[in-house]
Amino acid sequence: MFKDITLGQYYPGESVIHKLDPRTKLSGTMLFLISLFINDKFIGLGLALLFLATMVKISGVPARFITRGLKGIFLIVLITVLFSVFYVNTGTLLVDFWIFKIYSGGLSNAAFIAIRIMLLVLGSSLMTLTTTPTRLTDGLEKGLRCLNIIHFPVHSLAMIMSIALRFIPILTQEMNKIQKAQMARGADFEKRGFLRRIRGFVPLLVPLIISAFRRAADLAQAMDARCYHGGKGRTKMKPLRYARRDFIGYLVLFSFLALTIVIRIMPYGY
Amino acid sequence: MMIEFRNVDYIYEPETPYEMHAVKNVSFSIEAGEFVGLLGHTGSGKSTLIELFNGLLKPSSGSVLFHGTDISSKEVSMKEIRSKIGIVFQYPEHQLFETTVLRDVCFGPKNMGLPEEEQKERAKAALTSVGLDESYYEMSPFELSGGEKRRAAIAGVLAMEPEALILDEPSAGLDPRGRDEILGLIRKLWQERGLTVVLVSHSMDEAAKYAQRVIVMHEGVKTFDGPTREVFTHAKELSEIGLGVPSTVRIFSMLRERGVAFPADIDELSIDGAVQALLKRVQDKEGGHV
Repeated sequence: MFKDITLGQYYPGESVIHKLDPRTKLSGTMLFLISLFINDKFIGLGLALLFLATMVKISGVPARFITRGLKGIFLIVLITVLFSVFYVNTGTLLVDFWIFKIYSGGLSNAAFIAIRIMLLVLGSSLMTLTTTPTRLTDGLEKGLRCLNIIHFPVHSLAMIMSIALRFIPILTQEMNKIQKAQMARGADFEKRGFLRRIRGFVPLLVPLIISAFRRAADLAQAMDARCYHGGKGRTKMKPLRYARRDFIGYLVLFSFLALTIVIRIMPYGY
Repeated sequence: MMIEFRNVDYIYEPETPYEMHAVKNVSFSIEAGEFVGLLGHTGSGKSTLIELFNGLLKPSSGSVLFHGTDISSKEVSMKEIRSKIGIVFQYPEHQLFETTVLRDVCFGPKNMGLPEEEQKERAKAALTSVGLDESYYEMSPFELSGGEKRRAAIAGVLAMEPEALILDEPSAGLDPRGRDEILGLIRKLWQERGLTVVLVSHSMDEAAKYAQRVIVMHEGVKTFDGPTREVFTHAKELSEIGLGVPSTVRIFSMLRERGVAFPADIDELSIDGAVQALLKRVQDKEGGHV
């Protein structure tokens, strides 16, 4: 039941994509997402799909792990598709039934948006699947260092994030344990009816929250015992350094972005 | 035969890089009224085995039978199985959630769909049998001490009046006195109610003291299964898999290695038996030489 939380789930591997500096992957993902919004033609999306598929291939992560993230957004895609099918009235009228009018423009618009949303999710899944949460927050911390100038607490934020990410699997595990203990006492988590179902979660949530507090207190004490005092003057065991592959990575990314822009300003094509 | 495992295999997350073959072709059966120690090191598959007992996990292959019927077959009600095979997980106090102790213990009977009167009756009986009297009924479970919390949690399982009780390291994290209290309580339940007990542990001393029969797991495979005394004669194999033997058994095997003879029928498993055998030996010697 709680097994399919992919957030922060890392797929171990030795590929170039895994080894890239997390900053490269973060900006790469950002650029990829931006490129999706620059696109206004199917051919552009095709390029993005091709690009992503190549990256997935290189990373060696099986396709079913990448597509697992799509399950969660199915409803969102469905709703957006329905809205654009019924509300966009450009192109030729295809169906005219009672109050429903479906135009060709609506259909192509719906397909476009659906593909775009799915690519958004797939692109970010690739990053989280090939980067450990620790490396990810390291990358964020170093990449956003410039914000320190305006007294933005970059280190604290990165620390909070890495702790939160680190705790997701722990709390998921804890939740599974508590769930099993309550199921052994006959609890049923698949009850019908909204209210009964919500009430059914109390035996799960109360122990979970208590354990989260207990863990937080333990962690705070452990950090204090190790003289943690924030980011100032703190050094890293493995400082991030760009390697040759990162420059190649950036080169590939910017060429991809340039190509996307060219497709966008092309006056013709779909 | 009350509970039977037939060629049970369990694989976690098959076909992923996290795949783990936790239980490999395990078969055994447990008779009603037995007190079985299930021993194994961390990662030996014993925790997986526990969850297979009441259908929290379904075997990847093989089957688990309760009174002769496969518990994963469709006609069997999971709720009924779970009320008949009670499982007390490690640190069971982490499952407490209600506002009062009594209400928390009622949770199991309530899920069984019993009328409120009977829920309370059962809960009170269960609390009495774990040694928590009326003064605890209206307390918040979170005010209790560590040992009391654990007893309340065990009562939560007992209130369903199971035929078999499976406990995963019920003494973990308790001080020596709390440990003796909990284990003594379990023994009492076994003796007085004829409950079938499976005590999961990695402590050889605990198993030696309480269990009639011992099943040893190692890397997902059942390595030994037999009467406690017999299993502990395999001292060497047991130390090789990182389990060792009870301290008293170790003392006698070391004495024997150094040429001190003892009769084969002495009670090596309990401290009382060991003391008697040693005393007898010393007296015999004094009698012979002085």
